[in-house]
Amino acid sequence: MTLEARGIRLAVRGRAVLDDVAVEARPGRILALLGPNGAGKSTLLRVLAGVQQPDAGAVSWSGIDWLALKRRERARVAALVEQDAPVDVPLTVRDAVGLGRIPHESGFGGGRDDDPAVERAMRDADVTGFASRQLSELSGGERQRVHLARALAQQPELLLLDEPTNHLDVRAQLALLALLRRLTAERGLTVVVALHDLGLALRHADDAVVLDAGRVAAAGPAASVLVPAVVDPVWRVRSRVGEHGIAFDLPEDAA
Amino acid sequence: MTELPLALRAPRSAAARLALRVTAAGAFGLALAASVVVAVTIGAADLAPGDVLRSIAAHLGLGATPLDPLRDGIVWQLRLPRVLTAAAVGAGLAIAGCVMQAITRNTLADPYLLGLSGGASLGAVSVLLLGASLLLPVAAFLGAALALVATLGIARVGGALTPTRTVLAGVAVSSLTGALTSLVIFWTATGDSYREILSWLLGSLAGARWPELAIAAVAVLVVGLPLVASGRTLDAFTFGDTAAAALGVDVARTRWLLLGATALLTGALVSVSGAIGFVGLVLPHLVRLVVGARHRMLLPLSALTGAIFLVWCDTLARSAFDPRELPVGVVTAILGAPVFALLLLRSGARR
Repeated sequence: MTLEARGIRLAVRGRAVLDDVAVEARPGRILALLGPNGAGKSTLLRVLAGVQQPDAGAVSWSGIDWLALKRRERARVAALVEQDAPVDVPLTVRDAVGLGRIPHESGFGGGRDDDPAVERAMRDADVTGFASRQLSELSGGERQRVHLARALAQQPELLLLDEPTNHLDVRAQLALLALLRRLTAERGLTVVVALHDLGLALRHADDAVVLDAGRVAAAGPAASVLVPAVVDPVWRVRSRVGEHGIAFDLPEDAA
Repeated sequence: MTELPLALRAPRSAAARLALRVTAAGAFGLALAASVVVAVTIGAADLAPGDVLRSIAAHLGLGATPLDPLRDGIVWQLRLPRVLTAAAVGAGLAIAGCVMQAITRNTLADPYLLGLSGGASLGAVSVLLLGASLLLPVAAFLGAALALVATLGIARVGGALTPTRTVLAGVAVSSLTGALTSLVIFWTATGDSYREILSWLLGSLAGARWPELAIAAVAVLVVGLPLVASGRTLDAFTFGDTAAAALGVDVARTRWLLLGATALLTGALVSVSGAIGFVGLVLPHLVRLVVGARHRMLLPLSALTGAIFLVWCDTLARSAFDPRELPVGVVTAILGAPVFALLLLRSGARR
């Protein structure tokens, strides 16, 4: 189902973080949210997740007023994987993934031990092999897959991820994006993922939105957005796009 | 982490996990019951556990032959209500600490360290001064709530709400409420004011009889039990506020509701026992080391171990220097302060 945001504005202490932003994310497709540091990617993801209220603008989910839904109802549809979740949490992988069931449970009681949705989410994110280990004992890539599994345990139709490839080695980055691709293709998930690595975005995303200082600089299919005419002024670099991806230089006058 | 707790934390099947939970709760429940009975026998007068059970059975009308009046009086009028009050206060403080730690994501949070207990003492003492002892728990709650708001307010001014900043703000608030409490007592008291000051600042169960037990027990049943049952909501805060919001929790409302409940619980407990420290810090921490951070295990086991802990601390406090009594807070501080120091070192090393 399609997520559509129009005219999103948000100011923090008088400074516009999002300024008339429009985004459209479609089912079965991966939308990359791109932009330099501080462009507003994380804030936009929180607005799309319904966690942060915008000052103005509308968000709709398959035609429904998304921000008017109850929090719990939204949490059963959309899951957010944040950047840099705390790691000093004494939980096993299975218990951490089980937290994703909270929107589907009552606030009282303790959650089920034998929830099939937890087992399925762990299989999908490929964490079943270390389900009984402690979160703090895992590698960065393993831990990021656990957070993805926790999001999948919410049984979302919309998956929002904030720079999930941060701190991951190349192989773990590719594995994570391959996993997102598979879930998108098999389940028809709508995926919005903030990325820093433009090469990864070019190779793995279907669509892309480039944010620059809170405004949309470009939007469309990833291959048509990630071109020097867009990239160079926004990131203040000189880029070349070839068959091996995208390469960058500092412009000569900045060196 | 050692091997044994790991094995405890991670049994594979759902049935095994349920069995573990029931077994653990049952074992600690039995340990608490046994602790209460044995603690009552300790002290002057020659009492056996059987005598305690006989006295209880006789008073509950279960047809047992009563003890002789003197020894029955010691069990039923003096020691049993005191030991049960210790259990209720210990359970309640452990629950309050556990809840505060979860919603502030701060393992150093504790009703004593963040100034709630001191504020509650001040509120209670002020009302006693005015002679309105019926309002005692209400005034203690208001004192605890104001102290909490002050602590969080001070910690937040000019910076993020980090664990150490929050504790420092709590120290400031505790110092002020402690000084004001002493001042109020000193101003109004006629004779032995130092003893009274100590029992409010350090906590004492020396005066606990059935009416005090009633206040503590009602607080634990009416406020503490719903908090124990709200474990899933606390679980949602595991990865922070945004994560909790993304799981459908109304973060601001939930936080103030739960903090208000801990202030209410702390206020009621402090109004009967004074400000007993470190129970809410130490027990949740030890239990968390063994069973992990999921609250459906952590909360009930913290409550049970908190109850057992305070029963024995109070028994030690009244018997170690018999016939003189230590304030029970001296015992909990001697045991708890080193754990607090350890946690402080670890939270510093993490940043």
